[in-house]
Amino acid sequence: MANELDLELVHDALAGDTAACAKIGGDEMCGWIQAVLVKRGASPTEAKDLTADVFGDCFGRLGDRPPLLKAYNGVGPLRPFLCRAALNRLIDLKRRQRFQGSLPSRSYEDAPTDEFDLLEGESDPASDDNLVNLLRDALIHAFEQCNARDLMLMRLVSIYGVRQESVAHALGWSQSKVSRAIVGVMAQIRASTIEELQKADPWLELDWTDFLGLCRNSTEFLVGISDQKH
Amino acid sequence: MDTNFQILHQFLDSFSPVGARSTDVVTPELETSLQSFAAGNIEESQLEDLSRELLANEMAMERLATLLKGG
Repeated sequence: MANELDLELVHDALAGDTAACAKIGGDEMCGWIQAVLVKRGASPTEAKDLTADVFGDCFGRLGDRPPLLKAYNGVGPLRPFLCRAALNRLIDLKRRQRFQGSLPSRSYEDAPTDEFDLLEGESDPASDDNLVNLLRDALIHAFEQCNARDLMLMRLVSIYGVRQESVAHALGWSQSKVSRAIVGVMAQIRASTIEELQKADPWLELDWTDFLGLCRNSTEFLVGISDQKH
Repeated sequence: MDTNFQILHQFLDSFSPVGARSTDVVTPELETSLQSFAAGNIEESQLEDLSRELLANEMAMERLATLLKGG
């Protein structure tokens, strides 16, 4: 496994090895996570508090949940794993802040649900992952905006490995026309995704490279699938 | 191949709501359309509807890919 050292470190920390705990929760890792959070839109104070929360959760110090580190599967490096956890907390914090001082104004008697009911639940490990929900919803929206033909061609070429030449031949197109179609659809996915993210969480600073990295890390850490392209 | 698209596809495949996933049935009519596509006999006007059908049907996509690869 590519991240065997990280996995061993986590196992040692969970077994109570103080040196391993100190390495995971040390200044270098804390500073890195805080910097990532600030880059994504957190204030320095928020970044510091959230990082402390993450390291508390790592060893199960906060609440009655199992230690966060128990969920680390070694499929990706430890740093992005902790970054995902911190970013999830940042999204949760920012969304809670959105509701502060603006309680729903509708009549509770008349309304079966209110805004708080629409927040993510806690029952399913995948469904309560704020980050996954944010990325997924933006991406689904972006795919819906795409030209169906061009998206289908992209899938044939990129997912099923059909040669552009074969697609071009079947459609009576030039190969460059196929190429332009799939390059164009990728550009549209990128633009629509970033636009949708901005609508959903305007405070969040994510560029396309960040988005791709978070999609890949989410698949690695929550599903255990790796594309081995770090 | 576009590796970025592969990352996105794998992510959506892992986290899309179950109800939004493929129906995975290739009807005889659809099979005929796929063979027409692979043989270069699909009309441009049919392509948009067929594309939407394919995007919702993973098995049909696989079948078309096989046909286009000469299978």
